[in-house]
Amino acid sequence: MTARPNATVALTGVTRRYGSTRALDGVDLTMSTGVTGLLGPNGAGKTTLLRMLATVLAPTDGRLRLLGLDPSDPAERTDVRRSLGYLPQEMGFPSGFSAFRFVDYMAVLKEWTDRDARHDEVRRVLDMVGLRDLAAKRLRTLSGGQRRRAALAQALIGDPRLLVLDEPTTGLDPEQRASLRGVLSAAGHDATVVLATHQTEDVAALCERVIVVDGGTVRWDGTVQDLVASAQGRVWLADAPTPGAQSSWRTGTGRHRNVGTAAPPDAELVEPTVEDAYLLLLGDRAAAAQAEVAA
Amino acid sequence: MTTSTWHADEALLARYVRGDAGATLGSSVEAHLLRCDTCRGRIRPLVDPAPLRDVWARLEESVQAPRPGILHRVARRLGVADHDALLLSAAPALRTGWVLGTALALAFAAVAALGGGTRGTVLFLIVAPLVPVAGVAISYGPDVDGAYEPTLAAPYSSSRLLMLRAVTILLTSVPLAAIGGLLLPGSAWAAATWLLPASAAVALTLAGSTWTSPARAATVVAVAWLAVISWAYAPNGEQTAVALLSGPALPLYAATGLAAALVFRARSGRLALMGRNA
Repeated sequence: MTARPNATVALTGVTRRYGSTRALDGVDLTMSTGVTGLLGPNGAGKTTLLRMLATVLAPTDGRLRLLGLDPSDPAERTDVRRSLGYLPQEMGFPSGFSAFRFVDYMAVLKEWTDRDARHDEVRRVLDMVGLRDLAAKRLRTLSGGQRRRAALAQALIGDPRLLVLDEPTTGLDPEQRASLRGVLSAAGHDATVVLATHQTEDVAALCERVIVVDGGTVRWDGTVQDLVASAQGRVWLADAPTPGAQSSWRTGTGRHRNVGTAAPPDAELVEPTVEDAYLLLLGDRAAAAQAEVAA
Repeated sequence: MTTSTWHADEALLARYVRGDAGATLGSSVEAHLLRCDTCRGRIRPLVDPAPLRDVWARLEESVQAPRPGILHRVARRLGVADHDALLLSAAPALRTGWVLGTALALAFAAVAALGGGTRGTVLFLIVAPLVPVAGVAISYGPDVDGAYEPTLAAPYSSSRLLMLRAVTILLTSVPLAAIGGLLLPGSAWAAATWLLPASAAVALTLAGSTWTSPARAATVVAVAWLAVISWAYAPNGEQTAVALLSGPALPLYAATGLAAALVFRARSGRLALMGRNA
């Protein structure tokens, strides 16, 4: 794939090895403004890919360009970092810090040296994640979801042009997730937002584009509608699990939802979801996982 | 709650807002406003919201913005910029637990030194340089800093941050060790000579952290230090150990420290990435 002129992220043959393991294997991707969702099973290479987009990890092989700059050059890397927001998958906080003090601290690292301007920015991002009223509380006393939002707030400092989020909705309740979607879709107007998630509903509700990674390679790259359409005619309801279906589970109504490569001729077909399409795409791997659970 | 049917008219409210309603009329309007929703609603568009927002912002600032801690204030007084002082105060090594641990370790060594003659002095001199090394180990890096990844992804230089934190370690551990050294009997040199091996050990730890995490680098340095001392101690006992910790060996520490500092300087760019593979 050749990089489009307006691409903000471009990977060409990017590989990352840890010892003899290839976490990413020859990935070609380009992205531009908008929200892109990254799906994939655990260990698929999502976090490795996001760490590269966040400039904290270098590829072993291949070429990476972010915001038109080359992150392997120290000066250009620092320039990328000036326009970057990053939320890692797991995050701790300096002990004894309040939400305000933590975001203030991160803002200093992001070169907000003027105290008044910085404090205004801290309040703005805490407001965006709905933590303004809890700003003075110690992080230790906050709930998991509130701490996750404080971590997200630091990524939003300065309206970054590239926003890299590793499972941003973990630990959030449905209401908080909905409000977060609002924040991220607004950011996607002007910025390139990339988020890894296990929540297929978030992808359906938020992302224009979805990339499915498995075994260090890209298995799908396209619009969410196209991914869902790929499962059309392959999801059906029945009174019992259909033999040969790839996945099958009993739903709340007592009927069985079946996902498989081919529905029986008289099957009652239903509209597929992103999750159905994802399960079909991963195919054998998902089936193996289900067999393991059943065993 | 509206309790009267009388309402202040627009002109009166405007005069009240401008502050030229006079004392009597002004306080009547004020008393009325406290009870009357309708008039409060009507006066709202006449009031300039900017000063109110300002007051609110100042209130919010005073409630939310944390009062700078002692270290933050001391650093500022010493001429450190406000934002650097904030970074410094976030170092994990500045937790009360660390300072307390440092004080305990040194107090233990000093007490041993008081009771143990030359052997005690040697013990103190072995322990003292390890204190700042341990401090650096718990100051920075993936093992100790929960916010390590986003810190790395920020434009602030990682090597500068590590240096800043290493300096805070020295700020807390050097005075404590100096007090411990002064307690030592009869050997005035001991009070100061541990500083050179300590500086060399810290410089080696910093240099090592361009290859691996500061915690691992510190472990290697500590083990190496103890190995050298044991090796020197074995054949001739205290005399060799004292020689290693005093006069003749001191230039060696200075040279090692300088070399390590140069290595750190040359390789500090590698701190900007995870895995140190740049």
